Amino acid sequence: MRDLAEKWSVTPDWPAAAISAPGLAVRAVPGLSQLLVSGDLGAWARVSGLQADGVGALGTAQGARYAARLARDRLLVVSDTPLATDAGWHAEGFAVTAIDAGLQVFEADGPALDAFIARGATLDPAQPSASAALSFAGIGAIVYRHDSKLRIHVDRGLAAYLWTWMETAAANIAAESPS
Amino acid sequence: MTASRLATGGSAIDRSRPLRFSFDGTSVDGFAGDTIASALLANDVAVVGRSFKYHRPRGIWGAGVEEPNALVDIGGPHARPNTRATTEPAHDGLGAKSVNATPNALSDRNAFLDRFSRFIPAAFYYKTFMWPDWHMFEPRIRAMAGLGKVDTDWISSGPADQINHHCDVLVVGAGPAGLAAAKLAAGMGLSVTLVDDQQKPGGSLGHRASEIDGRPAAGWLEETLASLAGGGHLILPSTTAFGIYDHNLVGLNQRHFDGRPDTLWRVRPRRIVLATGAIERPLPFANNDLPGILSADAALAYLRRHAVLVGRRVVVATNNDSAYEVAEAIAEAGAEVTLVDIRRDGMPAAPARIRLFKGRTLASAAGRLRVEGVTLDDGTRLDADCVLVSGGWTPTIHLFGQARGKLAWSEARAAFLPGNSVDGISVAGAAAGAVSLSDVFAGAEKAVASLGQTKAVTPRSTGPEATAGIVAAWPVPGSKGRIWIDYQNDVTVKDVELAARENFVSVEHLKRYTTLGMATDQGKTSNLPGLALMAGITGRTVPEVGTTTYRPPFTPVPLASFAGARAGELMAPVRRLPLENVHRASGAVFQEYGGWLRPAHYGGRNADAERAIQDEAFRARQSVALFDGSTLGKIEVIGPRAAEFVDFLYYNTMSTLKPGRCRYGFMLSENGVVFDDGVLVRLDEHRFVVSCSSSHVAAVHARLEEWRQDRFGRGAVYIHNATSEMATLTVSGPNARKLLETVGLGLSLADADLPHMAIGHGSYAEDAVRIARVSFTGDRSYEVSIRADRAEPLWAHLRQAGQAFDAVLIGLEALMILRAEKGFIVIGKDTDGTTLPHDLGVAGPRAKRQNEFVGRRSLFTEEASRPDRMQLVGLTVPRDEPALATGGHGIERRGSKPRSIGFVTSSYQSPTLGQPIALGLIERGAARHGETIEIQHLGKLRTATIAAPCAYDPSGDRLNA
Repeated sequence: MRDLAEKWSVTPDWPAAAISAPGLAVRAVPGLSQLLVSGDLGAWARVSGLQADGVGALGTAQGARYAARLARDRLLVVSDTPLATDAGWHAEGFAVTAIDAGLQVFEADGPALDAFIARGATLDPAQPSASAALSFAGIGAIVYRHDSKLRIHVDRGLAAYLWTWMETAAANIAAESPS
Repeated sequence: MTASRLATGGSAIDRSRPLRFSFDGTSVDGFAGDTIASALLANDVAVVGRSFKYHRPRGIWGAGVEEPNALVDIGGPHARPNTRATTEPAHDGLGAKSVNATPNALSDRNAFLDRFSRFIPAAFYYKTFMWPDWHMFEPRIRAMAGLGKVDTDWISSGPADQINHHCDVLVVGAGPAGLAAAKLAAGMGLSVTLVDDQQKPGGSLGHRASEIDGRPAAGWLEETLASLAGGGHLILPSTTAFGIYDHNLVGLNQRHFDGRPDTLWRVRPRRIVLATGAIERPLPFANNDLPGILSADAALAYLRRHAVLVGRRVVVATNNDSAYEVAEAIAEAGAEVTLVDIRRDGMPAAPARIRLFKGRTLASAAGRLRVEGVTLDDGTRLDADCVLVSGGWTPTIHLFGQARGKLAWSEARAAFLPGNSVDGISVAGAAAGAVSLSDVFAGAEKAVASLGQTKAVTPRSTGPEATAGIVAAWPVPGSKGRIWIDYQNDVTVKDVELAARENFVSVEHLKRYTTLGMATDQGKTSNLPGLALMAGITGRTVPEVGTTTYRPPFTPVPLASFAGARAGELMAPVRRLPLENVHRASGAVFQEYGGWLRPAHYGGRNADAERAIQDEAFRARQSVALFDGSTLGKIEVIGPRAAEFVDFLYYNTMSTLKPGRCRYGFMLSENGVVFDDGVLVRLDEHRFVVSCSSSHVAAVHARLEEWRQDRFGRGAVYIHNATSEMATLTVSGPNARKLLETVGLGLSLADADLPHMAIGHGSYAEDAVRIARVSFTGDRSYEVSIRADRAEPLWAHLRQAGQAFDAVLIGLEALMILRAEKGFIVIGKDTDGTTLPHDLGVAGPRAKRQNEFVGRRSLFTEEASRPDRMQLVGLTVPRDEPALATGGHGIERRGSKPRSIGFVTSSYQSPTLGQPIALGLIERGAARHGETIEIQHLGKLRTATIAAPCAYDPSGDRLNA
C-alpha cells in the first residue's frame, strides 16, 4: 500500500508561511473571529449593531469588523476581536454558528493582485457581484477586498490545496514579469 | 526550387543574430526572426514532410496557421509534436524532425506506397480490412497512420498558465482591419485586447505594399501598436483565438518560445471584432502538391519579411489580381518570372520583364522531389524551379461560424462571407470580403461604430489599392492526372468523385468519407475547393452544397493548456486533517478515504502493514484507542422548524430526540435507497448537528440546503456546515473513560451524567469541548470535539496520558475491522444503489411512521416489497481459513448454472476473535442465518455460513464496560 503522504505536500506552518512574487505577497491571516449568520439579517444588524449588508465578491470591506455577503439571507461576519453573539437560534429570527477555525483566511497584496485574481476566478474585477461566495482556484471560497488587499476564506480542509495553487499562480505571474 | 537568402532586406530578421538548428539531422542556418519554415526555405530545403497516406514528398505551402504540409516534431526536453514550421520561431540549437517520414522526409522508406495509390483510394480501409477481423489489421495501420510522434522522454516544464480576462473589445487579428478597429475602440475610452497569431502584428502590412495617412504602412503600424500599448491595452502576439463559446467566451492559445507551456486565456469581452483576414487557396492542376509549389502570398511574405527568394525560375499562376504584386516583387528580387493568368482580360497590366500567358491555366506540374516545370492547358511546357499559385482568397470566418453566424455566398469574391449579424460580434477586413485598404478601414470603422464616439481618426489608405478581379477556378470533374484538393489528408479530385459515386454527397458525409478537411489544418486551404468540386459533380451550386460545421479549435491547442494547473496535487485535491502533520510525525501511513487524506495505520509499511493494522485493532479492544475522527460531518440545522425538518430528512423519527442526546439514523434518497447514515445530535430545542459520514459531508449539506429551500423556505430553518470548525478526537475502549478523566475536561463522565448516546459540554485549556458518547467500535467511546486550530495540545495530552493505559493510535483500517466485528455498516461499501433501510434490518420507521419523509413512497413499491431482496448478513468461515474476498459472490445453482444471490461487502481477519469475519448482502439473508452457501471469487469456490451481522459482543455490554 503506497503511503500517499508522499503524494501530498506537508501542510504549511501557517504563521510562517509566505508566498512572494514580483508584485504579489500572500500570507495567512490568523486569529480572526468568524460567524455564519443566516436568516433575518436586519434583525441581526439590530441585535449586533453591525451592518446587515456585507460586501460581495471582490467588493471592498473596511475596518476591524465587517461582513461578507454569502447569500440573500446569509453573512460571514469577520472581526479581529471576539464576537459576543451566542451560537444557535435567536428568537429575533436569525441563526448563528461560529466558524473561527473552520475557514482559513489568506491575504494577498501587491500590484499584481489583478493578475492573481485573473488566475483564480472568472469574475470581472471591475464589477463586484452581490455574493462573496464564489469558485476560486476551482474550489468554493469567500473572496473580497479588505482595504487594498484581497482576502480569501476557504474551508480549512482545502487550505493546503489553495496554498499550493497560489504558489503555482505566483510562479506564473513571476514568469510573465520582465526580469 | 532553388531558394536562397538575399543579401539585404527582411523586415522580420535580425542579421546580427545568426542561429543554427537541425532539421532531419541536417544543419540549417538562419537569423533571429526566422520561422523554421523561412529558415528551411533560405537553406533551399524543399522536402519538409511526407503526406499522410501516400507518403508523397511535400514542401512548404504557406506562411501561417493554414499550413497543411510543413509540420515538424520539435525535440528536446520540452518537445512539441506536429508543430507548424510556418509559425514556430527558429532558435539556436532547436532540433526539428519531419512528420510521417522514416527515416527522414527526403528519403522516406514508405514512399513506395504512392505507387499503389490506385488501389488505396478514399475509404479503402472501410471496405478492405473487414475480413477476418479489423482488429487484426488495426495495430499496423495505426502505427502507420497519424502525424507526429509523442516523445516519451518529454518533460513537463510546469503547469500551463490559465488566465481569465475581461475587456470591452477583443480584436482578433492585428492586420490593418484589426489595428484600425483597436485604435478606434481605444479612442472611445474602451479597454481593448488585440491578439494575433503571428509573432509580429501587422498581417498583410508586413509584406503587401501599402501607404497609410501619407506614409509607409510600417510607420503607421509601429505608431498604432505603441499607442495601444501606451494606453494600457493588452496586445498578445503569437496568440490564436481558437474558439468562441457560449455567451461569446473566447478561448485564446498563447504560445511561448522560452520553454513555458502555452497559456490558455478565457476572454469575456463586451464586443468581439473578427479581423481574421483571408487564406489563399491553391489552384487545381495535376501534381499540384509537389514541393516548390507555394501560395503566392506566402512567397511574398518570405521575400519581404525574411529576405528569402523562393526560386530562380518562377511561374506564378493566378485567377485574381493579388498575384501580380507577388510576380513583380519576385522579379525585382532577381527571379525570372512567368505569369499564367486564367483570365483573358480585365487583369492588371503585366509588370515589366514578366512574360504573361493570358487565358491559360496550369494543366500539370512535373518533378519528383521538387517541381521542375509546368505544362499549360495548351501544352506549353515551362521550366520552373518554383510555382506560385493564387486560387483566390477564403475569408477566415471560422470563429464567426463557431458563433453560429450564417454564411452567404459571394460570386464576386468566389467565397463565403458573413451573412448575418451575431450579437456582440463584428467582422471586418478581408474576413468580411474587403480587398482594398480603404474598404478594410471602412469596415473597421463600421465594426466598432455602435460602441460610441471615438477620438481617434480612421486611418486613410493613400497608396496603391488592392483589387480582387477574381474568376473562379474550381477543380473540374473528370480532370486528368492526380489533382490534390487536401494536401494534408491526400484527398484528390478522384476521391471526391468516388465519394459522389457512392452517394456521399452531403458535405458532412464527404468529409467523413474522404477525410477532406480533417486533421490539424482542418481544411483551411481545401474545404472550399472540395465542396465546389462536389457542387460541380452533383450539378448544384456551392451554397447548395454548403459548408461543414465550424467547431473549435481553429488551430490545435495542447491538452496541457486545457489542463492548466490541474495535475498532481492540484488535480482533485483531498481535504486535509487539522492534525495531519502530527500524524505524519507519528509515522502514519496515509491513504485517501472519501476525499480526505487520513491515516490508514501507524507504522508498519509495505509488507508489515497488515501486521500493524491487526495490532492496532487488537490493542484497541484491550485497553484504549485514540482515533482522529475530525472528518465526521458537523452540519448544523438551526431554526424554529429544525425538528420538523430533520424528521422530514431522516428515515427515523428525530423530533422526539431530547436536547443533549444523540440518535443514529438513515437518510434516504427519493427512491428510498439508503443515502447516508450517522448520528444526529440535538444541542437545544432549535439546533441539531448532523454528524454524517465523512465522505458524504458535501452531498448531505447540499441535500439539506436543497430541501430547506424547496420545502421549508425562509425563516423556518437554516443550514450551516461547520464540519471544519472542530477537530474530533475519538477515545474508544474499555479504558476510554479512565483516560479522559485523567485529562480533565471539566465535566462528569459518569454514566449517569453522560450515558451512551448523550452529549456533554466541557472545556480544555479555556476552549469549549463537546463530548459525544457514540461508538463506531462497539466499545465505550467518546468523541471529543474542539476548535480545529487548538486540537493539537489536547491530542498530545491524550497521547501522553494514554501511555499509562497502553493506549494505541489507530488508523482507518483498524477502525474498519472494529466496526465490521460489530456489524456496523459503511454506506456505499456495505450497501449499494438498491439497498433500502429494511434490507439492513431497520424496518420500524417504514412500518410505523405516519408522517412524510424523504423516500417514504419508494419503500412501498412492488420492488421494495419483494421477498427475495438482498439483505445484510454476516458470513462466517472456519477459523483456520483465510478471510473471504470482498466482492466475492454468493451463488446458488439452478441446474448446472450458478446464479449470484449477493456478494461479500466487507471482509477482514478479526484479531480479537481470531478468525475471519465478513458482511454481505445476500438474497433473503435475514431469514437464512445458519445456512451454508457457496462463495465464488475469480473462479474459486468456497463455502460460508450466513450469520447475524454482529460477530462480537452482540449484547452490547462493552458500550458500558
